[in-house]
Amino acid sequence: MIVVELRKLFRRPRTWVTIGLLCLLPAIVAAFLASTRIAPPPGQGAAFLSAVLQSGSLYPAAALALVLPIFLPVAVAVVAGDAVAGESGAGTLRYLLVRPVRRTALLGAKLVSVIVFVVVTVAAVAGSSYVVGVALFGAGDPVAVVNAIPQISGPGGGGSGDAGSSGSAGSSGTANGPAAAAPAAPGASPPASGTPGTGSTTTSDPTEARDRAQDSVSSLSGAPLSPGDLALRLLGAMGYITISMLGVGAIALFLSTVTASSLGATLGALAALITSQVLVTLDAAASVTPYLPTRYWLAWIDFFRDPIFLRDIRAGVLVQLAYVVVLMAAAWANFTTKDVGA
Amino acid sequence: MRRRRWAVVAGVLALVLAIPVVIASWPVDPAPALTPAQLRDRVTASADVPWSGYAEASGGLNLPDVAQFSDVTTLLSGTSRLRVFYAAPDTSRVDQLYPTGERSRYVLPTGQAVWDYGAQLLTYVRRDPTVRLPRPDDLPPPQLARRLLSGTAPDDALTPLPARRLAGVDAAGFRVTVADPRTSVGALDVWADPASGLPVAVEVRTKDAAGRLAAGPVVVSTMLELEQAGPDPSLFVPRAGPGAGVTRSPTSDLFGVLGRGSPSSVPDRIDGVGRERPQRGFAAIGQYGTSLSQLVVVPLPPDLATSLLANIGRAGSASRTIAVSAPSAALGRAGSAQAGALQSPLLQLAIVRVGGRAWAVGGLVPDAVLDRAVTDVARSAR
Repeated sequence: MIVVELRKLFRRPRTWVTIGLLCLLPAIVAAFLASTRIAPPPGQGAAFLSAVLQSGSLYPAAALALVLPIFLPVAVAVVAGDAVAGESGAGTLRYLLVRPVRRTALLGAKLVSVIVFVVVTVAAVAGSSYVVGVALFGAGDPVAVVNAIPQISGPGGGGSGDAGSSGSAGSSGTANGPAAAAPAAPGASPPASGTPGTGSTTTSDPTEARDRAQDSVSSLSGAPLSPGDLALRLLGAMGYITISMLGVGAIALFLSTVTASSLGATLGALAALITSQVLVTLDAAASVTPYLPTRYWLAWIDFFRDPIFLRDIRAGVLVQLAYVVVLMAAAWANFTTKDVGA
Repeated sequence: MRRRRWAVVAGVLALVLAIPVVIASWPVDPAPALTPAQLRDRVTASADVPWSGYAEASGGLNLPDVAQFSDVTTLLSGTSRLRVFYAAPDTSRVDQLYPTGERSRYVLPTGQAVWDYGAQLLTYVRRDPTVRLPRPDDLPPPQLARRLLSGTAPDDALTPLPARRLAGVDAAGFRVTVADPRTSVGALDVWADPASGLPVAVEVRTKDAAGRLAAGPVVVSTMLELEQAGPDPSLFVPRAGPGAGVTRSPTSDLFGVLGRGSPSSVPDRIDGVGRERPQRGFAAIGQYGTSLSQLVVVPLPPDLATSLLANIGRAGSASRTIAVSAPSAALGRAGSAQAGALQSPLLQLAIVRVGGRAWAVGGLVPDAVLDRAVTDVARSAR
């Protein structure tokens, strides 16, 4: 049953067009960023967009931040809203239920296919944007990072552009220069405040300095992230975003059992989301905001703090699970007792 | 059949909704039972309790954004999300969390460091004056409670408050009603873990000129997650991310910058209160009194004062002009004297300019006290 639903999902061109369009948006943004090198200031605008200029390996996070607020929930609402109502509208639900399948199992299979769709979409967006990011911004060339320090600490960020894309071999000597020079003068006091930019970041231990330079991505708390650490955090963020979409999926799936129009179910789910988004920003609604489906959507960014800040992530998972449990129960109660005429 | 299934749904929904309600209404039983005075003493002595956690602080001062003071006005007019690691009074880290960024302040035995993700800058700070502008790391409940309680009088009235469960702690509460008529602080409500004395919530209420308490708190700081154990020492190492700049600064506080002048640049006495001995290195900061009614005066460059006064003038209902007359002895542009104040129920901040000299005057004081202080400061110009 699940296999049948999955085959149905992935045989549809529409599924692949949706995923393709979701991957296209970050690619367009990356193309503009790479050609102009004009990023929003760090901490403003979309998350991580400024950091990707230094290392493309962070671009999956920036890409997820771009699709999360609108495109991803719309895609999930379309797929989940179509799940039952689409069959009903096309007249195939009747034939589907003529076969000896239990309606509960059918509903479960629909939910699984929605979840698989979210997982595949998030993975596709992250994967494609990693490729795009590394291709356009480089994977955080350590030499470029060290060279970029004095330029980035200055007011104009434009200079970091050529540092990010310049070749590594030619300038590797300069990167090790300040680090290697320090132990050569034992007893010398640490670099004075004369050259604050370069002086204090490089420690006196050359290997440590090199290790540190290889961690080319910074957490929001300032601590550098090693590639393995970054990969784990990205996986965590992807998993959390997938879970965040379950609430939307459950709302759309429930509405899909109520109406025979998949468009109605999709728009209903989106209306619920927009309501939630509006209420989250409203101080007067503070008493209900912790229970709204979109309240903790942005908590995936907490994976990139050091140490990882789990409070909102935990709350977000619980809220999404509550929505899935209640709405799937409602969908089950409605669907299993429904007269399927069409 | 249909009805029974929907009944199951209703049951599931009720169960899900009941979980937060049951948790919230679970009986709270703080142990050991302490009198408010004992609890207050434990709170004041809790500076050595190590902890880490997450707190949210919100201020309802609704101060307008005034250029050089925007850090303070936004701090006291919105909600701050704070993650704290606290090992000792001289070893702590407070991260102010933004939706897509972070600003951390490390307090270390060797000095302080500030990491700003937005500016991509790690700043090592030598030291800040003891009299300084409020900052995010003053707002977690333990820091806020201890700082405010140190300004109350030992004989201020103490009353018990109903216990609350916060961040997993059954916290006992007490209210200090501040008798001093020279401060705008009416009462401090503090809830703390009776075992360790660590405060988990603080609410500040103002009072009006007649001494009546405001209905709701104006500043609220609440602990939402707490672990009372020593944090991992590696958390106290300031790190600048790759590509970020590192710089050094003698002070991170505006008062620290302004207060480097001569000790004679502020008056010896305002509103009848004598000046405390100035701190070494910050001789120009005038501190008058040590309780909650303390007033602070710092000299300002005249051009900065002019722009601040213009900013305050544009602040609408939150601003107020104070009538000051230039003393006849004032030289230079004699007769040119101007004063304006940003007012809120709790905090007052005035800018005074007389001829070529200017000051900022601030404190948790009512209008009348500020007016007298401003008059005294203006009179000192000669």
